[in-house]
Amino acid sequence: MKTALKWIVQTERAIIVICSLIISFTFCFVVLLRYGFESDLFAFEEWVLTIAFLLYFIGGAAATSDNVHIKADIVLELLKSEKTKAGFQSFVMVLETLIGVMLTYYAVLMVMNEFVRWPNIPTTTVHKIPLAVPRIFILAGFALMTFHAALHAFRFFTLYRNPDTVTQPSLQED
Amino acid sequence: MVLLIVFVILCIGLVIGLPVPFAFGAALIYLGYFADTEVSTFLTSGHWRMNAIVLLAIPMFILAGGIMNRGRIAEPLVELVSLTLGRIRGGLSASAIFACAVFGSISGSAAATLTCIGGVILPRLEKSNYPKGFSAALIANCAPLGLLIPPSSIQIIYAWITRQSVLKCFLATVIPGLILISLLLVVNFVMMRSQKNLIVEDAPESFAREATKRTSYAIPALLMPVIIIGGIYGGIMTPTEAAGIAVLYAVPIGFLFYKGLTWTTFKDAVIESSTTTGAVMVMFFMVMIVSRLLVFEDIPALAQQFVYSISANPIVILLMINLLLVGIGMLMDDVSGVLLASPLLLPMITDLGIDPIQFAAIIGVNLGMGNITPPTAPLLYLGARIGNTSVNSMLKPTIIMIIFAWIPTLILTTFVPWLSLGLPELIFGR
Repeated sequence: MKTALKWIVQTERAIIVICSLIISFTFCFVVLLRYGFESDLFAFEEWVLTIAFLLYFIGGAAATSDNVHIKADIVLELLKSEKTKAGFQSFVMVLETLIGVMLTYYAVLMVMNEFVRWPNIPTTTVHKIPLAVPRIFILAGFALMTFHAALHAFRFFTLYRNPDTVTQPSLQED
Repeated sequence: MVLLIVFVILCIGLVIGLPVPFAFGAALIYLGYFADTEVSTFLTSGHWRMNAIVLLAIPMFILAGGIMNRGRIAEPLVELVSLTLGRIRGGLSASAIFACAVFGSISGSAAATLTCIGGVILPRLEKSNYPKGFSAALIANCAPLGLLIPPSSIQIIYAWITRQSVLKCFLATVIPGLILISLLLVVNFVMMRSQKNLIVEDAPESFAREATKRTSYAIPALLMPVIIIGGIYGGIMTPTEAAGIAVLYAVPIGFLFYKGLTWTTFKDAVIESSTTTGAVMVMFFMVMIVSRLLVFEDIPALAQQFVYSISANPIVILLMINLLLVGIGMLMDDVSGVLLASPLLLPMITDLGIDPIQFAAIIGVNLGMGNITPPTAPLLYLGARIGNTSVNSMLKPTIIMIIFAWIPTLILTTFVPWLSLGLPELIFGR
């Protein structure tokens, strides 16, 4: 189980690193082509934006895994006991998981909708990339976020039940 | 009623500590169930809306900021400014203000500025006997300068939502940013005047030699905003391309010149920045969908009716809008704030005869202030963590800075249109 988790987290990280570097170098290359060779990278927007969606949503999953999504920890700041804090965080993570499940469900509907007119599915104009591709990335992102939130909920609940357990900040170290 | 319930769901979600995208997700689920909206269709529209090249500037500026953070690019900036200011009482803290402004202009992110400059200067301020709470509060108050000094991610988003020129929006916040810098400097010197035990830096043996040494060391860092801003305003590249160039420029500088980057720190910087990108862009996606749904439900018109039922006086309406924006800034971060507030308030603003470019500056100052206004002040909490101090010790100096620096800047930006429209009109004409 731990190996599978580690593999998921490492794969997510590898994906976001590769996507970030591809996107940055593409834009530098575009400027270089324009001023160095008076040329352009025709319709690069189509594939670069597809890669961007992979970065956005797998990055979102990595953010849930590391528990670094933007939030206001007002209530947590007010709580004193570690046990209460763990219990409260477990409750928030359960809520997060439930919301994630609903969003994943809506994303499944969105992706299914793409295949209604199979095989004539909508694609981009030049490179004919199916529009379903970035939408599948959105679905994968929501599903992974939900999975990580559920794991955090379980981890905080374990911590609440047994406060002596050593807490771990992210799944990376699980 | 829909707006009220959505607002209540958002407030509860954010206050209990749900991540921003999930709090908006909860609002979306409510709208899907009870307001009879087809949510999957709105997810599709979210994809269409986010399928924009200009938005790619945000992840790349985040990546450039992350690489610079690990590449020790902040140190030469602090060293350079402290050479001139470090020898006067309150000078070292004043140099932090300038360093935040310069670094903010490179990274375009308040949190990156706070982490990077705070990490370098807070230990030095502590060593020079500056009160810990004051130092952390000052850095937290200066960090939003990154939202006002171009290039700013917030202004890119605002321009994209409201279909305004990105370059004009960048320029709109420059003068308010400079006013804020001046007022923060005044507040800093006044507050430090009574601190008798501050240690000031010794004068170098030869000021000219030291200045030359520190300036030449800082040149690669200082060239970064020149390349970005010069490239954008010179018409050489778009903001997105400039962001890509910023990444490519930061890598060799971090590896070869400042030597803060190794392969391990580089990998860490890319992972950290990409994760931040994910957090920001998923939040972007969710907030944009909810905001679009609210527009779809004609909420801006209802809000306008509600405001006009209280008063038709433009000054009162502007004050109410400012209060609402500060409230939004207190509850959520700057990206979600601008995404939610811009489409909802723009019709009212244009109806009042206010230029959307001026509103870019108003929204920038408001959300910057919201980020450091207690009780929900993300930058204040981050400042406390980096400064290794309590939020309580930061409260008094923060409130002083809000009253004497932020609020006057906000009032001037709101009621003196020239301050935000002057530069765009000077460069681009009316």
